[in-house]
Amino acid sequence: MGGYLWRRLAYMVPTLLVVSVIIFSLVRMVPGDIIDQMVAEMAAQPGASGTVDRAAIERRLGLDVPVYVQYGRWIAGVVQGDLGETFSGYGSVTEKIFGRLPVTFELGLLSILIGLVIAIPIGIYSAIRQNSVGDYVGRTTAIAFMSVPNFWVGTMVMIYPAVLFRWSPPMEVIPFFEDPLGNLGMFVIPSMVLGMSLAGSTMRMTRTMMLEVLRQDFIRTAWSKGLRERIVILRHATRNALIPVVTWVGFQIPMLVGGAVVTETIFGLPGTGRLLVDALSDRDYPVVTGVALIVAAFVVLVNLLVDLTYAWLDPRARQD
Amino acid sequence: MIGVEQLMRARSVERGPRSAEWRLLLGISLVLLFGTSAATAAPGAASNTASDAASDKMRNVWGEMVETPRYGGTITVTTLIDYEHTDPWYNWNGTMSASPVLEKLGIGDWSIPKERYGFTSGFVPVDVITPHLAESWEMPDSTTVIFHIRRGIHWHDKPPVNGREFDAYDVEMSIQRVIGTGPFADQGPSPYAHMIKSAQIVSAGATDPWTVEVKVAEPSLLSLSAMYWQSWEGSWISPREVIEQYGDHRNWRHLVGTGPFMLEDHVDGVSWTYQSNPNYWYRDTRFPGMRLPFADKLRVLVIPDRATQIAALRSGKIDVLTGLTIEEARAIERSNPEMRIFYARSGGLNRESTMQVTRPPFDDLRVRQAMQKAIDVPAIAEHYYFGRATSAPYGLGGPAVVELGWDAGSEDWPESVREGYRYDPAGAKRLLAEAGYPNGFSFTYDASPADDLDRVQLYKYYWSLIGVETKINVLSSAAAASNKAYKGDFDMTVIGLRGNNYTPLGRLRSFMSGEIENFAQWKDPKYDALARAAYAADDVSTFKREVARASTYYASQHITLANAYPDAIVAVQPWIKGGYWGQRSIGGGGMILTMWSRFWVDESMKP
Repeated sequence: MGGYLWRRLAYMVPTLLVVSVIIFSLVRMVPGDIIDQMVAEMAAQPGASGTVDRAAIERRLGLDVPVYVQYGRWIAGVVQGDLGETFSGYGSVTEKIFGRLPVTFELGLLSILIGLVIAIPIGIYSAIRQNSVGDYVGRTTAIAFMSVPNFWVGTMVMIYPAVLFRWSPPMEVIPFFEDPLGNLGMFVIPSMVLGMSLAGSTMRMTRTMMLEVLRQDFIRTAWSKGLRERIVILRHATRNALIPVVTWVGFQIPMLVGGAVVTETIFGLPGTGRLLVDALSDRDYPVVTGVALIVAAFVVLVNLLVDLTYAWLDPRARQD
Repeated sequence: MIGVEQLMRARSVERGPRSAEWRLLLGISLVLLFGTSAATAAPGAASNTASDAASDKMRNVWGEMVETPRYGGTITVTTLIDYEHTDPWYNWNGTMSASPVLEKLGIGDWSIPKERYGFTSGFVPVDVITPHLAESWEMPDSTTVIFHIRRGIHWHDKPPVNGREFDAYDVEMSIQRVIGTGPFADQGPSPYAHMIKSAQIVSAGATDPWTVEVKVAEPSLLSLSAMYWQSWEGSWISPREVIEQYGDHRNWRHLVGTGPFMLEDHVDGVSWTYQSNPNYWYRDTRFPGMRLPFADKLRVLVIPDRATQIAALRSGKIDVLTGLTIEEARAIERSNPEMRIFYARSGGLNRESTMQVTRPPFDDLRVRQAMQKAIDVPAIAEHYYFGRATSAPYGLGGPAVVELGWDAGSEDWPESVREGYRYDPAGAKRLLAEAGYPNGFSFTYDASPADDLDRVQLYKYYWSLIGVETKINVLSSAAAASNKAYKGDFDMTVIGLRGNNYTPLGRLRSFMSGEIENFAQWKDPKYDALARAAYAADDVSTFKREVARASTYYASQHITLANAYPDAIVAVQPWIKGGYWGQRSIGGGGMILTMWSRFWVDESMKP
């Protein structure tokens, strides 16, 4: 197991290196470079003369050297834990990203919790009451949760309470350690919005797995032994059915990162998703590259954890 | 800006009043000095204070009995993007965040009757600017400006400045820092303060604690304008201790100013909180003697989504929302009838569709004219903008500029020019046939999501009626606004006369040969000569006349499309008071948040 873990960790290095090259190159290939945009913004100011020192700005931002030199400087900093300086604010990218990570982390964690709390009981109920009215309602709900995009739900949650009741969700982050209840109150609505699609897909996965397990011989044996339904379902069926569900949830986490981009923007949460959107529109290359690299590392780590879970659950996987 | 350019020709007072320049200089000096005495009371001379505000009514500077301003409360505004840092030297982000804290040598005077100038457009004539941190200025010769610094102003009581009295050495340091001279020679100038750079300032030095002498390379009152108030990045005055100790004040904790607010807190990506400066020196020019600011706090919430901003306004989480579209304004009027919606005449944004005139088909004036005549601009103004837009064509200056008399309106154009702007699809087809395109042609329109794509679709429809096929190419703002436009790589682009580039002076330059802003790549010696003549004008009337000639000629050439002008729309909560009628700044030059020190909150009206 130890060797397997080290081998997988070693694979992460070239993976992240390739990812960093791709991200670094791609962001610079987007039409409209940072200097042109800055020049355009400045030239739009009242009384602008149009004589802007492009070369000075390029020097200041470190864009006056070839891309491979820029990459070399950047990756040398990354190795030392320094992701560079932001273009828009001249702050440390590392500090900025790690300042925003707790928000995304809390949002993601709550979304998963909410998603699972909704999905697993309904999924189990749908399976054990297959083709009942409750099952149909559960399945319809699951499909609705998966079909409705979270940006639309988020926008509706913002607009309609404001129009009808002159109320809108909180828009300022309350630190957890200052006011835990206020903090949870702030995150609960965006987390529900973000957790919806996870809930829908997990609900269906749980139902499917439960139906499969419920048809297994050992479940028939359990029934034959005269065990009560609660024991059969919870102790025998659910525990086995949830193994692939846990794996499924693990693979959904990167999707949540993508969803957080939209949710954070709509609800004004200062997380890494919103940071990425802002940086992309500003062509703030160091921030875009830094966030993308951190997210890539996170996804690779989650995949590793999922694989390790598999390896722990199924010894055959360790041989692969 | 215009007045300043006229002043570029001003001569030394020592040479005597021998020219029109002198008369102009004298006139504007009088305006400035009069503004000083009338507008600003000396520090400590305030007779009315918060205690006097207990009465309900008071007489304002215009002699009207009005509600007495109240102290206290919080004004909350919003921004789509975070400001990131607090040093204007580094770019306009710092300008925005520092604008309630730092101050300039000059500032707009809101005691000017709003009928004369309402501060609702981006165009700020020089004669509404009054001395602020400077008490006055003079020009002993054509390349020297001397600022006399106001006494009795103190920096915020924050380290490392600790409430020291502001003086000429702070001004000297601030100017040297922005132009990259003296102790800042190694650092170089701010690459963003382009207006300061254009002004060709050579040196700045304090001759005593209350006098700063600035030298420029060539006679240029652009220098005065830039230093005084108009440069977004270069006109702000910082305390020298902060720069000496930290090198800059990008870090919000290092920002110390003389302004109405002190920066109390910043949460990255969430908010900026400013606390009122209890020792602010300036008194409200509209309510003589009353201390500013009225509100205890100014908060700026970073809300990156438009729908969320509107929800925040509807639910009372923010007090003001600017830049509304007509649809948004109408929806807010329906849902929140108590909300005050202000429609202000726009200063610009009229000619944002530029044609590439160096290649077919738009190298032919008849084709360009046909594109204009095919569009029913009055119908768009009436129906698309619900009548909240101006449909008359303009030249280089927008409606506000024309109304203030700094450019010719279309009614002053010759009939031959006016004719080119009349809706006439049959005439458009005829022009196309004469130009060799009887069956029309196909071209690409570069648009961006930030622009009004629905209106572009309307254009596409109109042009299809004369046989012209439009391919709309939606690019990111950066690509459309800069890359393609600056390289001239387009048929027609949404970028044209820049939205905020309101002054006729800036616009004149935009279409001169070889200018970076000349996206159309237009090279016309006749236009260049007219523009240069305007720049060389000696006095206000000559300048206006020359601008009108250049502008009319420009209009006759149809380089850009004349569109309907949507109004600038602002929604304000009813409890925000202070004579708000849609003001957009206290004098341009990035003094955006500064103006909130002039408003107060009626807490009793809050739900």
